[in-house]
Amino acid sequence: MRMSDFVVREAIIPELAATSKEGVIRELIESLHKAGYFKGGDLEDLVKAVMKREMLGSTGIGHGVAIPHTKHSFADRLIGTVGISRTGVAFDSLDGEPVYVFVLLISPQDRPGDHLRALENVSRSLRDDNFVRSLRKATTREAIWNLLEDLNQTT
Amino acid sequence: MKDSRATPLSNVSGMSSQRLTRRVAIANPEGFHLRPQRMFVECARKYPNCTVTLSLNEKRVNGKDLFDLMLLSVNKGTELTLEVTGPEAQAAIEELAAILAAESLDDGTTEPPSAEKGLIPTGVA
Repeated sequence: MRMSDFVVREAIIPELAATSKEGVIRELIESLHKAGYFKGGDLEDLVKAVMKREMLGSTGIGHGVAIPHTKHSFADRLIGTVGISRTGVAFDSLDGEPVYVFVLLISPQDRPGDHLRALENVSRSLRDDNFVRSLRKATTREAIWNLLEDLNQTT
Repeated sequence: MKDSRATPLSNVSGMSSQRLTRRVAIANPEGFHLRPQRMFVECARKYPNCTVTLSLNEKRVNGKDLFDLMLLSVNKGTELTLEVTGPEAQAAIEELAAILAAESLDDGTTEPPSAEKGLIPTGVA
């Protein structure tokens, strides 16, 4: 599995407007909705589900990265998106540092294996500080997508 | 990795350094996912004088590094090898094995691992 297998290209946000944990999560979910997902579903229900997961323990994994996620019946396969914050967002991360790179994951209820493989892939990609720096410097959706695609060719 | 028998760690709280190994099967239906992984890292870091590693086949990762743990991608029922080296290895391995063996973390309570999981002390400094 590659990041470009589950990241929805049209939903990538190169510059998040939100500056709070819940605001970022809502913005990422709304972006997936605008890209054609969760039609007819209650987006607030999805926001609540992701926030409920955050209440159990932050998904800020350190190095400026967070992976907010949930399982939800709205998803029939694992999907996700990437958002970049220019200012950084307080996220109760493992290292106490602000988060700049967000990878939102929404999984079906019954596919825990896919979720674990996505986590593995996110770690493999984002443990490289140079790659995270490149993502943070990218200013367009295309530039971020191209970085994810280039990653596929080098891993 | 250094052999603890060859390089004894400093004596802390009267406990001698040792290397302990235990095989633990993941019991959580969701597998070893991000939340128990984070709990594991936070627990491992409570023991600064211990090294903690987790192994699965040829993969061997630092138990104090969350990015490392995420690489394991372990489903329910898979057995991991937990290795702890240091003066508080016994206490650390009990706590860490309990996290791996917990079926659920949702209610804030975790079941302790079963009493016998194949404890194999491999060296006492």
